[in-house]
Amino acid sequence: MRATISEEELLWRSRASSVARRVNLGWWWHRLSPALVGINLAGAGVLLLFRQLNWPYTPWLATLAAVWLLAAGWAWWRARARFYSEAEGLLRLETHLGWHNVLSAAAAGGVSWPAVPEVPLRSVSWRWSTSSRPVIASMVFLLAAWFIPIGGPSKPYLPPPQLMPPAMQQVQSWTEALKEQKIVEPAMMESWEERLEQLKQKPSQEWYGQESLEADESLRNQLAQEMDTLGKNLKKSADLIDAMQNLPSGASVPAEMDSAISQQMSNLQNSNLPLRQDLAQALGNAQNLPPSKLEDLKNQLQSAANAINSLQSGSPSMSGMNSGQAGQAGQPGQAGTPSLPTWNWSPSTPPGMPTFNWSPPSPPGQPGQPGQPGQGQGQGQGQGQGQGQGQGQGQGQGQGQGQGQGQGQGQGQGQGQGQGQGQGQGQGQGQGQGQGQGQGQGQGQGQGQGQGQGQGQGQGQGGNGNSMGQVGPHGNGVNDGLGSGGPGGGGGSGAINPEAPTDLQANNKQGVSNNKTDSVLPGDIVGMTKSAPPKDSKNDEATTAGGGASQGNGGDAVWRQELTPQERALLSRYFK
Amino acid sequence: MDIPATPAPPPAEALDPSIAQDAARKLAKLQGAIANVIFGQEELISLAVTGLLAGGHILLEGLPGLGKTELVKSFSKALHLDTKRVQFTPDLLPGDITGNPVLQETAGERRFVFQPGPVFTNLLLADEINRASPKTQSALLEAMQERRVTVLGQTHVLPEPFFVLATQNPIELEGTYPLPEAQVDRFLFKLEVGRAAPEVLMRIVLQRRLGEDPLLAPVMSRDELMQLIALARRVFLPPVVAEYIARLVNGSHPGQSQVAQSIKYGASPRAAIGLAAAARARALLQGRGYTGTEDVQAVALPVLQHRLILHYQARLEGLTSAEVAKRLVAEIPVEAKALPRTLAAAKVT
Repeated sequence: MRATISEEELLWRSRASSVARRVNLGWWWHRLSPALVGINLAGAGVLLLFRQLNWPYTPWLATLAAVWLLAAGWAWWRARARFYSEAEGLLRLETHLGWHNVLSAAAAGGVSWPAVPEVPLRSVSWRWSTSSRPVIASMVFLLAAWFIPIGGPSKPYLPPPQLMPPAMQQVQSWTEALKEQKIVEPAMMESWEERLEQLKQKPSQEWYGQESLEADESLRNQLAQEMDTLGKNLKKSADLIDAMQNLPSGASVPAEMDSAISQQMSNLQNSNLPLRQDLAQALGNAQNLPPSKLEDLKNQLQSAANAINSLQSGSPSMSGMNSGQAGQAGQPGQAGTPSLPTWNWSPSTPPGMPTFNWSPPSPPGQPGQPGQPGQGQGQGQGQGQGQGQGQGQGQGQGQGQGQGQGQGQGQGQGQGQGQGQGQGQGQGQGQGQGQGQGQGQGQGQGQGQGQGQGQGQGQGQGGNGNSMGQVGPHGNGVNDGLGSGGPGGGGGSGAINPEAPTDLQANNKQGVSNNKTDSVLPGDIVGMTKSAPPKDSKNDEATTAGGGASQGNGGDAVWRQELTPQERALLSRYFK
Repeated sequence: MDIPATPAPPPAEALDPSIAQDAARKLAKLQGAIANVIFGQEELISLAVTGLLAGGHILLEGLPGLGKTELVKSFSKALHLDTKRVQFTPDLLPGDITGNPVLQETAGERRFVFQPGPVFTNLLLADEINRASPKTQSALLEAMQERRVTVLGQTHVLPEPFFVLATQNPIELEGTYPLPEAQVDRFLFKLEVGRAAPEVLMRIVLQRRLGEDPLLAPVMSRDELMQLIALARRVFLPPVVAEYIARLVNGSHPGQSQVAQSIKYGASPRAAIGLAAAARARALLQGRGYTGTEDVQAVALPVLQHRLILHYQARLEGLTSAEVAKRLVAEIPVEAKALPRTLAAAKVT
């Protein structure tokens, strides 16, 4: 029995064991890699699901690790039948070296162990592409599932909050401001809020329906009216208290002042925006208040009035209610020239079917009566009030009454209702919707788009405008004059006056032209000219009955007696 | 198969490399001497020497005039062995092979005296063995396998060494009796003697005369041959080689390999023993004291080709047992366990 193992034997056996381990690892990996690919792909899918649902990763990681281990164990179990032993490792080595099984013979004791050669003994090599590529690809999928951006669980779809219509917004802001100011009796404020809430409770898709918009505007107008009334009453009350303070000391309050104060108190309490109860009572008991309290009451009323004024003029839509001083009375207008019938094409009608709004010419109007001076209150954005020159920009909604003269340039968008009288010159660009009543004289140039309804009395010379709009019904006015309106725009035209003879000037034809073609739509009539129809002079000759005025010139090429050069060449070749 | 951690000492019969190399030199000398007589058949001579060294019988098949008989006569001369030749004919009787008892009268006493037949020799040349009747052919069965004959109840041991070198003609099969599978299986090798190349023919023409036997001096005595045969049996056969032989023979049976689809009956355990013996002999011929799988692969064809019985369909397709044996060797790998796809056999740099 040998006591020692030779060094060569140790080396060879260790090499053989190494080969065997490498082969066994290869077999294990051969069994494991397909399973690993499947596990990784499934794990990637599960991970995506976890991330989608925002579930924690720990269970997934633990499960994946456990499945990997199980797969490794299963792969070892399946592959062990093919595992190499040390003897098979020796065989691999001697086959690789071509050594006629000397190592196997030596291991069996038949021969001595040969010396370890200098050549590398790596008898097997890895096929990296075959062995690793599928698994690497599956790991890439796994990493992609980990890092790829993914949205969270889909939330229930909520439509974007619908923007409230402007009127609704304004009522809401006013009611909130009034509540904050604590001017109005809270109970009445709640009633206004309830009315607003009723409008808001409608489905948001219906907010911009015709009915909803009208309801919003009606509520807004009512609230604005009430606020205006409240503000005036507060101002009057403050003025009355101020007058009371200016009475000589010891003098009693005149009966008229007292009744005015009572009247104001009644006005303040009997409106839909009643003054706060304590303030109203204080006002009713004003003559008995000490001077300091009277002063406080006056300041409160004045500040309340100012607050309401600022509410009304501070919102953008309120720029139409510019503050202004009362304007001077306008001068009577001059009689205008009769206008021609105008054709106005409405773009809303289907193409090819223009509608014609024919307005017959009206007789010259009588000069208008001078307007009454107006009262204006309000604060507005802009510069220029009353008489003056100003420039302003504004967007607004408003109601206003005012008179004024002014020159101004402005750009604005607005919706407004207004009543006004005024004279002015202006240039402006605007978009607006409005309802208005007005009297005025004006000269202006403007560009605008608008819809409007109007009633008007006016004399004026309209500017050259590029306006496209629907012209409202013509005004019915007394002593209205005829205006000459620009093309595409509405000019005023007076109604038929049955009292006076009507000269329609039907024989006076004038051409229409429009040099500005920027806003011309297809189908617009940009001009009309009068000209004589084309006349064929050739046919002016006298002819006999049945004879033609001239011979025709066409068609004789068919019957001519000459050949074309190509035809001549062809025939010459044919008959050669 | 596990290798013991502390290997046992080399067995006493383990062959010393020097002895193996000495034996290889002698055998090479024998081959060279025969190659001087049989031109251009080095591989045939090597296999024949291998067969003799393995102690097996050889069946030589080839067309007439290719030197089959001359090969046997050359072995006889070179090995200085007693050689007898039997021309198998259809009227040959078994007694003509084994011997017959003859009634003799000696000193007034009559008794049967066994007269040994031609089988009692070292080297029996059975010419055109397929011409004798099956009865006569079967007379060789016992002699070839057990190296003894039994006549009238008496067993007569044949001399050692005893080799049967039979020949048969692949054409002119009319009136012949194909060897039964049992007898074919007793031949260790079946060697096909092919025709000579032109340059070999030229050499034959230049050096041979019709009717003249070539001269060949003995190069090895009978005892030396016996020693070499004993040495061949001592060549170490590693277990992996034995396992390879087993897989090879097992693969020749239907359903055990792809090529076995053409085989009706596969090789027997005698074939496996013959492979092992032939592999040892070849290893000794190479000067090694141990056998390798390459030795098995080298002798697989002559060992297996006459033991594989093909299906009728395979024969109709033109497959021969030699081709099937080659495919079998190619299909059965040396290593029992294949490498996984993730690994590749590295090349020796």
